[in-house]
Amino acid sequence: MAKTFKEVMADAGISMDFQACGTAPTEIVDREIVLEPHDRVKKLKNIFMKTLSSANNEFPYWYTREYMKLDSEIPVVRRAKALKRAFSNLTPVIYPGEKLVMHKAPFFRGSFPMPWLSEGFYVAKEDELYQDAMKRGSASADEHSKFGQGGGNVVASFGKVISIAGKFGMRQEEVPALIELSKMWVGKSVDDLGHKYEQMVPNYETKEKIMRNIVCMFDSGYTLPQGREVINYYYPLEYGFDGIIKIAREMKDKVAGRADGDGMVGMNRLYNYEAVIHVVEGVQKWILNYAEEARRLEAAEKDGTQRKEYAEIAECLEWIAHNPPRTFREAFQMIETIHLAVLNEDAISGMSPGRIGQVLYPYFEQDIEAGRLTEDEALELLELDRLVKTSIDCFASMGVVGGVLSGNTFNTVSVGGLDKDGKSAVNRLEYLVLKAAASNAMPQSTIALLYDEKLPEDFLVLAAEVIKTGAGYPAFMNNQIAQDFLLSHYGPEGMHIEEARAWAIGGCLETSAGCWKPLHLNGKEYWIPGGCGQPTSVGVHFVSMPKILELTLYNGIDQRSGEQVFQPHGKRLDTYEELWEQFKLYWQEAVDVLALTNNIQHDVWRKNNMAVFNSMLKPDCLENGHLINELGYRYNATYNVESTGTVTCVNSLAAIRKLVFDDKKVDLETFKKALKENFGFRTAHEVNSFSIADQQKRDDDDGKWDELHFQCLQAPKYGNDEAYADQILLEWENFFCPDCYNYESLYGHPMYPCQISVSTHGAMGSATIASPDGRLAGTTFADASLSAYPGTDRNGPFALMNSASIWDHSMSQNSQLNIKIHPSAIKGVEGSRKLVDLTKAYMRKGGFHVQYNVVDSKMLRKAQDNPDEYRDLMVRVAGFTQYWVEIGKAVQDELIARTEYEGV
Amino acid sequence: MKLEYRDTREFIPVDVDKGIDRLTGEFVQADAEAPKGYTQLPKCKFCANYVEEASFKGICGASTQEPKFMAYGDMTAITCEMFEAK
Ligand code: SF4
Repeated sequence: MAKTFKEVMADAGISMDFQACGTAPTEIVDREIVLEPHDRVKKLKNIFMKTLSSANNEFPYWYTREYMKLDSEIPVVRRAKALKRAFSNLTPVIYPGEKLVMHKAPFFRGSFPMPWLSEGFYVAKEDELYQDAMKRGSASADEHSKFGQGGGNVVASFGKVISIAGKFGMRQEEVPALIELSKMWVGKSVDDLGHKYEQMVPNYETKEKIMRNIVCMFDSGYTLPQGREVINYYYPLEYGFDGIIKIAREMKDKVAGRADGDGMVGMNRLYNYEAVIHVVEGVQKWILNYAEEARRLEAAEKDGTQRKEYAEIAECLEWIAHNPPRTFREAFQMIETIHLAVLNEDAISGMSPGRIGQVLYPYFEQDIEAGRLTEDEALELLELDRLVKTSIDCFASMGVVGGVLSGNTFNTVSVGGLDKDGKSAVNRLEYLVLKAAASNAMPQSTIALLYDEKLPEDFLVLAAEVIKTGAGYPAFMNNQIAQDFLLSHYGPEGMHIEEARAWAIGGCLETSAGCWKPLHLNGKEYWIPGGCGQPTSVGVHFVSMPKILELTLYNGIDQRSGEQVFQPHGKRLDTYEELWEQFKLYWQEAVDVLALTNNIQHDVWRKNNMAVFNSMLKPDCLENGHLINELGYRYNATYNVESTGTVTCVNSLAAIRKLVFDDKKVDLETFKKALKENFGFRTAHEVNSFSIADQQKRDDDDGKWDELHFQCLQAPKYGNDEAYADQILLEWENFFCPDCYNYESLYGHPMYPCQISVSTHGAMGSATIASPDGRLAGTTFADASLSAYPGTDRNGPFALMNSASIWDHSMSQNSQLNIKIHPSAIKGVEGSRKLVDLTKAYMRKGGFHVQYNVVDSKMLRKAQDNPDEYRDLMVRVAGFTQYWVEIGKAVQDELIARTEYEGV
Repeated sequence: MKLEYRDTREFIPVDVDKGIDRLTGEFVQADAEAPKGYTQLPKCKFCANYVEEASFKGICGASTQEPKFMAYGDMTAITCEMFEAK
């Protein structure tokens, strides 16, 4: 067999063991801390572990049926009535042992398509899906046993189950209906209408080429038009659903027929309030259907304990369907229900519950004081909540679910931060939130710790202990940096310091605006935080920096497809400065056309698919009568530009600058030839590994690029606290962050920078030829925005942190630094303290985010070979945690290759 | 009448392939035959308003729009107020 990259390097005397600060023990070391959940949770978790991601047509069926009937209704009311019908007709299913009930759809991991957003996939696949459905007459044992890889993903059709997009299973009996329903949306969906109008943007051709060549990853307008934001549970908690309907009715009386000085959308308030009433009534019916089911089960149940539990479920639901919750359990069930309702209203990934330990604290405090609740009971509910959240699937296209999200839906819970008055906001319930995250370690909810110097030390040490379970959470986010960003960005919309403190993480890593609301419980007032901004899943997502560099080097031509993506710049690129200037011009051209086309998609979305329920929850829609689509939220400047492959690009620019322009070791043309020829290696697709370490030389390679390749690999690299490459990062950030303000969203606000890559570093790397830093064709980029490229950070974590904090992180919505640490490096209490100290050091330097993957790389390798044995192994991917078996191979390979710190 | 598990009220659907028999607590295949005496789950295919026109789909005679709206036999109809047992 041809030599692997690692072997070639070893021959040349360069160690590529991807370890730093020591040597790992030869035996696999498991995580130091392994905890167990409550028995009830364990049983339900066993069900989850055997559950396949499943979809059916109930919601889209009833939505479409109602929508098509109402073609002469005002759009927002038409949409609301369709939603009401769909919620009212969802089948309730309650699993034995559940306390927090309700699911998105009638399966444990249920979801459904939304053809009103995009129907093209099902219509295009009509023949394939239909044939597959028709031929599946009998289930064979062989087909059932196909599973093992992929965890809960239905990676292929089997028996009477059809695989949709390699992820969701649908019964054969449902497929013809799905196709027919989808056809009803042809020409009417956001995808179709958006496409029709985005073509009118001058330079649209470039957008098409950008998408085709994976310079950009996805269109958020019809894939995930909402999300990566923080929900707000305040209104239902304070007023109850009947109270909200009462408010909406009173407001209708006030606004009916009045423009109130607003000649464009003032009149819309009447229809908006009407829409709110319909949707809330639909959600109430949905809850009451579950209550009815609980009563049915209660009547039939023989076991006394279980019968009592069904009765408690019914009582809880019957109460919260109408009234504000009175207890911790009722409040928890209510926020759970609201969360699922929002996720059913639209295709959403990254709807974060926010600071639920603070939102639920009033109920917790009063129940504990009254002896109605024990901490252990609260812990059990928090563990159950993790099951509910992990069971949430998002039905989107294969490219988005696999390539961007890795099947994750990012329901991040934030803990810590400051309260309204600037004191530590940590409370007793938040300790339990952390404990539950360790005792029921599941991918959701991912935990974000809003780090501030004022947080208690024992809370931080507990967080470190949770990290040591290997769950990858909590991640640490810098409270001060976030507040600075929010104040500078939302200042023009009226944000002040007190409100900036109410922030939380939306999605996996988006700093999201929040506000405080006064919750009243038994005569006591509590100020609770909640989201009050638009989705941040919107804007220009994700632009590949290494691909822009490739296009710069090759005069606008994509080297994989041969297509002329941008107009040829025709420059000789004789100096580094000329190359850098051209890179920026291509970047701006891409962002500009993507911003315009994206605005059109979202404009179509807001005209027909407005978020009624989510809008109503967030300040200040109920007060002002305007939904999300009419700037109803308090903060509306939330569109962003997302980058991918930052460090791969920075290292590449450093290598070119050093080898071509400073040291003149090679001329640019020769360099480009070497990249095109992948330095004599086969491609990652040929090798079927996306890790740099496993790449193999071509059999016919004569070694002519070896020297140059070694020079590229040895050129200065980001992450070692050395100015050469770090300075390039600084130049990039000082260009990129302010540049985002040059693009305007459809809400008339400037965009801002967002620097997370989710899983796109895998998919985008796969479409990109070798890069000047020595990375080989098709392999992943460095993950996140500030993680070092695997194997290149050799000077320890403090050096990496120095490099990462060279720029002002408060210019951006976020930045992201992931560090892999071997479990033995942070053993015991001492180890936990080391982890806290390391984190504090980074935060003091001005770093925004850091998270740790505590895992032995050898275990990951073993898990890749024996997935069945590692069904519950979790890893931190980019900004989120996921089951190892449910992430794509490209990202698995990259995770294995990341530098593993053997000492801190 | 013979019923598949997934057409009974005693079946708790876990996913598209399997579920739990509420009476025994055991995992069962969704399309395995249910024990005698299990209760039929309301579904469009068991509804007097449903007319099957092609494989796995037909129309709902109770729909108020013209032409009558599509329905599919396998849809659970617990929540359909217009369901009428055949
Ligand atoms: S009335 Fe309801 S159950 Fe009967 S066919 Fe129509 S939709 Fe199905």
